[in-house]
Amino acid sequence: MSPAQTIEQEAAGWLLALEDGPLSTTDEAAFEAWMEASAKHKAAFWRMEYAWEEAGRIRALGPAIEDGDQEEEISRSAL
Amino acid sequence: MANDVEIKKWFRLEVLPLERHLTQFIRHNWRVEADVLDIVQDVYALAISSAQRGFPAATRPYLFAIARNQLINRAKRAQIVSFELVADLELLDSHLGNFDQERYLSARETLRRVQEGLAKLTPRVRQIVQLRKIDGLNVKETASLLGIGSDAVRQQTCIGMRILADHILGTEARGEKKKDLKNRQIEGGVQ
Repeated sequence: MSPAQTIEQEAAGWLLALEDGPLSTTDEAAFEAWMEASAKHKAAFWRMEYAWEEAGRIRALGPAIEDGDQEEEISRSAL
Repeated sequence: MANDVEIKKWFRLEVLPLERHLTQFIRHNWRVEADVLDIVQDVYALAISSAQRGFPAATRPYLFAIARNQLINRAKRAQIVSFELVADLELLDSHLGNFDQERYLSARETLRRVQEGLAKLTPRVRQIVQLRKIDGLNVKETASLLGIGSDAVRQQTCIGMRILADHILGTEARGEKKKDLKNRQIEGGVQ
């Protein structure tokens, strides 16, 4: 794993932990320290956060998406 | 002096929409595919650090100038790259504006990208992402439902997040071939 991939992985891990929160005081301090440690961390976290929010658009499709329905939905939305 | 809230807003609105073209530009001018993600991250970090002192008047030429300088510096440091490549990079200024204008994706286009990204995931990672994003289950609930450990759910969700981010932002898994993508998911313990 390259240095950038490692940072991405850490960013995804923090984002998940924050979503499932609340973080303990120790973890919250660790997250803040991680964010402040490098602008690369901020870049990776903000990027992941943005994309993960956008991924939430699948909620619009409703529950229990089957693969077949998904493909059909893609071709329909492409019209 | 801009604060993090302002910088984050700028980064989301003005920098991230450029990712697809920025990555294309870097990939076109740097042959080592394994370095591309590192270079993109370096460019973002420099842009964020500079934004603390003030935002550029025009983000696009600013971002591509940072990328060009990064490529030149890396080429010089590596010393294995021919002098011609460095010389070419130094001439890149006039080509920085040659891409099509970026545009914001509509909600429908974004949804389509999300769906296409989901289709790239292994069935298990896709299921975990859907349980979280559609059904609203957290890590513990997902682990309990699927009968697997919380660590496995975390690990597989993170893999899904990264692959989806690449697809949504248009980096197309950064040139990874299908085989490499599959390996990444298998390395993460996903069958």
